[in-house]
Amino acid sequence: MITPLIPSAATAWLTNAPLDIRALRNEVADPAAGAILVFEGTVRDHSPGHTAVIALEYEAQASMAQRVLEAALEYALEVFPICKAAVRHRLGRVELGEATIAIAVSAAHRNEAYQASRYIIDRIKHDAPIWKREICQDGTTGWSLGCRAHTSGAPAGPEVKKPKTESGRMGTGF
Amino acid sequence: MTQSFQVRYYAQLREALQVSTEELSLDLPTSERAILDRLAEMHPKQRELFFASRVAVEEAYVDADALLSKLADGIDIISPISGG
Repeated sequence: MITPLIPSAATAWLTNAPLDIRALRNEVADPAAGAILVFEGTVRDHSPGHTAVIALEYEAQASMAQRVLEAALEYALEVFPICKAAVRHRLGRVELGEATIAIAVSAAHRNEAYQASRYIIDRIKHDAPIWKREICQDGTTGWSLGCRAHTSGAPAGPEVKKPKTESGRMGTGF
Repeated sequence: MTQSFQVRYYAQLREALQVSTEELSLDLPTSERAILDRLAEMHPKQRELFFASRVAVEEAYVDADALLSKLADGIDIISPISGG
């Protein structure tokens, strides 16, 4: 369910379908934009403790994850001088090399686009209730350790503070 | 006042416990800490996982110091996430 061209500054969806990167890029195109930045997270063939990863399988508390995606875009639009932003996150099985997440941001200048994109991915990795299981060539599977930034009692909630320039204690990334 | 409510599990915690939901009874108001302590007590083998988890009520993470009293719709236990 890739989006049609919606006259909105931000759209965020979870989807079981392969991501249409070109459509996402077109969605944020804007006459005021001098930069369009598209970030893709992809399935890689290894992770800490696992070699020969052939696919990832995602599950989510979908309605809450949807809220986090939307909140990430809303905050980015509020804080950074960008034109538009859009994000898609896969659910279900995603094969090696395929995109698991795509973030498109348009802005008058590149710096804001990079900052906003970085904020959005960090916020999602930090807060979205989404889990991935690694599926290895030998048939073994394991839940990704992912983002262990939180222990119970850590400050939580949707009001993530001003974006950081370094991910610091975020997960290992892509 | 003691109230029963539903606890929902996902991903590694659901698999480890082999249930996706269960009922919990607690005196209200309660807190994230009290909920996780109680669940860890009920499932001692998953103690570490509970203590690395966050509690969500009405689809929002609760604050660590919040007093929780509206749990009728149940709670989500968000074990360590790995989206992206």
